[in-house]
Amino acid sequence: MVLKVENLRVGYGKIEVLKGITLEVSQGKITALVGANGAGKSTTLMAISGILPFKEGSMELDGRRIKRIRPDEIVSRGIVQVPEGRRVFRGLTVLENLQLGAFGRQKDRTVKEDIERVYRLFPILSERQKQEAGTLSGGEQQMLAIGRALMAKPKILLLDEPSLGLAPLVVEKIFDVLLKIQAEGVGILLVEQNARWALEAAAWAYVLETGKIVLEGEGRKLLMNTQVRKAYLGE
Amino acid sequence: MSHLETFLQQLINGLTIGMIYALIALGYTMVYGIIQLINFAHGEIFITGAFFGLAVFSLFPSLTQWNSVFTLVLMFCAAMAGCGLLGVVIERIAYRPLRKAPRLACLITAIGISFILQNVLMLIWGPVDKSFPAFFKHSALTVGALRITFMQGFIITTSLVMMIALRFFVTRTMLGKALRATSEDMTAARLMGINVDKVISVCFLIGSALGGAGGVMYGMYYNTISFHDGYLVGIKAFTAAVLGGIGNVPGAMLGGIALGMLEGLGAGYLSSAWKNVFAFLILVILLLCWPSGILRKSRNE
Repeated sequence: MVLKVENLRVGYGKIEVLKGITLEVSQGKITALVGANGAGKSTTLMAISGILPFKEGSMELDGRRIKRIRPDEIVSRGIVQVPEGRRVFRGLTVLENLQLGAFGRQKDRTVKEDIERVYRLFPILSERQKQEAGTLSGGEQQMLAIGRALMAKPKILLLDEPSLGLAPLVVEKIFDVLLKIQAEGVGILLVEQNARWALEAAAWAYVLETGKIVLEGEGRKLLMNTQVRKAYLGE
Repeated sequence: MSHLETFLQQLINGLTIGMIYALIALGYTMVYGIIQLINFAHGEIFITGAFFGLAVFSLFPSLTQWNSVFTLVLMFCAAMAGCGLLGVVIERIAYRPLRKAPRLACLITAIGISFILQNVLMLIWGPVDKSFPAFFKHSALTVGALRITFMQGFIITTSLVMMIALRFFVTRTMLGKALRATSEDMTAARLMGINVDKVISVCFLIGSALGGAGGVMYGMYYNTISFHDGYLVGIKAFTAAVLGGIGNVPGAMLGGIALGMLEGLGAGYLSSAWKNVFAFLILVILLLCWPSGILRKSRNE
């Protein structure tokens, strides 16, 4: 499956945040979106998920145009987001959070197996399944947020800053799982402040600056780019 | 009657009306929990339930023993279905278009809807008090000097059953879980594929249906209803919801019962003419000293 976004423009009121973005995400690959704070990375993901309306532009899934559809319809077509700041349902238990991830396919008999699958990816969640999500540590909440999104059986997973505020050891664990998910054939659009890792893992990457894509290319090649090194890798 | 017995008697009387407050308070709190709107029309929805019940009753004028249970069940069904539908329709036409508008706009709309409903009730059923049929008239259980009428028992148990059913719905069913998730973080809920518009409709449906059931109980208990009763009782139930912590479902139940009992004790020991004063005194004191209520809703903002 290939998700194509073309000439996407999004704004809040009169302020235009995205000024015509074109990008492509395909199944089984990691695509990275890097850029400074306020460049419009989260806005891009929220627009793809159907939370923010397009002012202009189009979205194509496997060559079929999708227009103005509700967020739940986007999810049921296999595009699922893990939002920035994790946003797990704090007052609900770990298990309930996972069940809600599969909300759109309640009649599916495989939901239970999928929960087991998430527990295999993140064993700590299985130990904590009856605990309220708000009592989990930051890293565990991130694992839950990813697990919850996986419950929707995504073909394309949108990840917004999954490593934000987490200890390096936890980040490593989460990145390992992302590689596993990718290997299973899921396409990942990764927004990451940890640009080094993102670019290393990404088959293709886009650099976003104030609402425009200023650079794109293979992840490893961008890693060599002096401009990128200066701006995002602190060199 | 001994001291203790008087106290217990007032407590039982208070508990009965408290259960009715609790049922209505649930509607306020559920709606507030999900869209942060104080639905001022809810008091009118509640009393509309009583009128729906009355309308059904007038279809069955002759009350034989059997017939009366059947009629009662039918009255509850009509009130709950009618009010549930009314709540859904109000949300759809009056609140949903304002979802992104400032909160004050919604609040004023809610007050407007409340006036409209009040006037519609007056147009249909007239401005004078209507007498409401009495059920289980003379049956009562007496323990010493304590008297629990069958009616009180009926109101208390029926409300309890409804609350337990609600609790089951909210904690055990997927839709109930989606309701909790949506009230916690609407955007995250949408990202998980939950159709929040549907969830909000369900919330109005259930809250209003419970209010409608409360309306029939109110009519049965006091035997007269009037088009403007919704206002006063509604504000009291709102006080109960604030008392328990607005947005908190168990809190609304507790708050309703607590308010009813305080009112009962106040009416019993001081004067029943003052019972409304207690309710509002509690509201004022609460807003001053303890605005988050007994069971504070855990929020992360």
